[in-house]
Amino acid sequence: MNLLRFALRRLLFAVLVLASVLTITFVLSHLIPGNVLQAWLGRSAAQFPNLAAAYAQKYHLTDSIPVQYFYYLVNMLQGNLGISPSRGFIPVGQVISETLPFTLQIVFFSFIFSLAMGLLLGILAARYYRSPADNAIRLFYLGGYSSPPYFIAVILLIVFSFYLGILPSGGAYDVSLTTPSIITGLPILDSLLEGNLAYFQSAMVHVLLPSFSLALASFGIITRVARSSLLEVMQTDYIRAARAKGLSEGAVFFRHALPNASVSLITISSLIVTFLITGTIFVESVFAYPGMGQFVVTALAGLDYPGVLATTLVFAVVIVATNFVADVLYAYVDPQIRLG
Amino acid sequence: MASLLEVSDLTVNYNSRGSQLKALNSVTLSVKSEEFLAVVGESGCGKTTLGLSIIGLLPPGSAWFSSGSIAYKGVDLASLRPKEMRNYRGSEIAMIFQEPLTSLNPLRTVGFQLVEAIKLRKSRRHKADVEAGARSRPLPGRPSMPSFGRARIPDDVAEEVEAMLSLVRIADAKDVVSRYPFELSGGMRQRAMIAMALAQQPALLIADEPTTALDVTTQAQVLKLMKEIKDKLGTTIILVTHDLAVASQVADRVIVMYAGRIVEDAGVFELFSKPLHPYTQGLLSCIPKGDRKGSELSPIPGSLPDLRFDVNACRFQPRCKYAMKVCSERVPPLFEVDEGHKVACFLHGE
Repeated sequence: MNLLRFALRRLLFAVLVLASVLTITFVLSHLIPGNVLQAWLGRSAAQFPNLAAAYAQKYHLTDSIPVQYFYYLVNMLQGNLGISPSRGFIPVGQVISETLPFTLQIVFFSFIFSLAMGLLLGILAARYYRSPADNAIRLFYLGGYSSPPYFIAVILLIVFSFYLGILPSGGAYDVSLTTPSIITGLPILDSLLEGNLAYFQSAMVHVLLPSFSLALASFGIITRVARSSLLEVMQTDYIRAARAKGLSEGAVFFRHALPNASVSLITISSLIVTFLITGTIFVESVFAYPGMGQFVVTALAGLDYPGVLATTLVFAVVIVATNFVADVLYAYVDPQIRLG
Repeated sequence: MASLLEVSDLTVNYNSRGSQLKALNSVTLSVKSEEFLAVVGESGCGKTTLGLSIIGLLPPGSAWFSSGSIAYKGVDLASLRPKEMRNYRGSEIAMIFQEPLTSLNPLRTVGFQLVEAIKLRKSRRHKADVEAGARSRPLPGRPSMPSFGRARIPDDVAEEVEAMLSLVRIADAKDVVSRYPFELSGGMRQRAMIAMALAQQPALLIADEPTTALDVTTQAQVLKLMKEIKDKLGTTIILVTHDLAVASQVADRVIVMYAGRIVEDAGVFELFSKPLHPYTQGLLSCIPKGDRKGSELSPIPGSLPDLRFDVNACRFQPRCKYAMKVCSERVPPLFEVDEGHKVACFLHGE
């Protein structure tokens, strides 16, 4: 069927993208200057030359980059992503499975906040075009998206946890609480499924500031696109024709204008996810949130090649998956894409 | 026959890049019930503005009534609030537009858009019944609307949908309702538009250049269809067109507009056999005729005046070969030359 061919083509495309991302990241990360063994072993590298030599041999550090890449690929295809020197030589796969759920939580909530805020303000700005409300909204979103996420994060941290003291300044949950068992892997969801409400509440409170920082930095672009595409759609002939039928303004807006403006909103939403997932690197550092973003930072600083590669790959997979979802949504919304 | 619509002294101002212009300048006309009226003129003469004014769809903020009234069944539409005006749109006055492809929502099936209009009529009727005390129960829920995808036509309106589509001579109703606008031909789209406009059984249908975007054969079919509808349903039709030939095929009466004013108003036969205004004469001599093969067409010299400058003179005077002194001193009023034949030209009055 058409849909199957479409999915297969996208899948092949995704594999190609991921392979290129992996190759480029591999080469680039190995070109980072610095003594790898010293970064991995610290002072021991100089103190125990034999140990250093053994490590160099075990992890093929003396081989040329293509040879190292070959070893990496062979291991990866066997499901082995290597060990993470920056996390005490534990398997990278384990680090990812421990940290990714926290990052996904931030991405999820910031996406929801960003979309809700962006859409609401965009719709308001379009409906009250050129009114003081429109101008205020435009000023607000301009301020939001011209501020980097870590700046917003620090401001929120100062206001809400330092001065007001109503939200925690860091961490992902209250460590004194019992952690939920793994059902889906996402702690917030698992605690809710288990009925561990104390943990759920604590986790929600902790996820609020990091995700809100990212939402504040990103909702502006959604507002902007929602506003402009709604204004554009409201000028079209079919909106005039819908009004000529005698439909109420609400019906015209929600039945004809908003769905038609949603095509460009899908595009921008998929881009926002990319922004959010990379933004976690900043906000997780500010809020000491134990997600994958923090791992990226330590891995980069520690020349932790396997860590850098694995996190980049995970980011790439999320982004590719988001784009796939966006493509499916296009087809769902627009019959010309679905049938054409 | 009683008159359905009385437009008197209607002036519509437009805001165009900081300067104002009068798109309509003291337009007075009346439309009788069950009449087929054609409003003819070049682009920019105000004919579309006239249509949009009647149905209350002038672009808000940039166009407004500065004087005059539009009396429809005795109610002045020009003074209604937007919410009150909405009760007239669709149910009393409907409008179809030039480009059927862009006038149909590209993401919704033809069926969805037609059902929408039919349901609107039902809910209006219900509301009226409730107000009249005939029925007490509240509205029967929100009309169920499929969000996306091919619509299944709800059973309670299926019959009406088929009736509407067969009225506009769409035979394969079942197939067409599940189609998206881009899957239909231009003629089919315009038929579907007409069906939607008629779904609420309006008394007045305004057709703004409904055939301009269509090829000649389809054009003829759509015109024939409109004539049929007028005869069958008794719908009063105002056809806005730039094409005198189109007007001559279907209209009972023709109004010729120039630069925001009515210059001639006559029965279709009188207008074509005895055009009085130099502008109408000019327009007629622009039409190629089969029996005058080889002879050159004579276009009207000059071009449309700049409406931003309001002048107290005949607007056509700079292009008119009969221009007299009085033409540049006063605006010619509409003189009734024969019964039902009015012309705004000093050649025919005073």
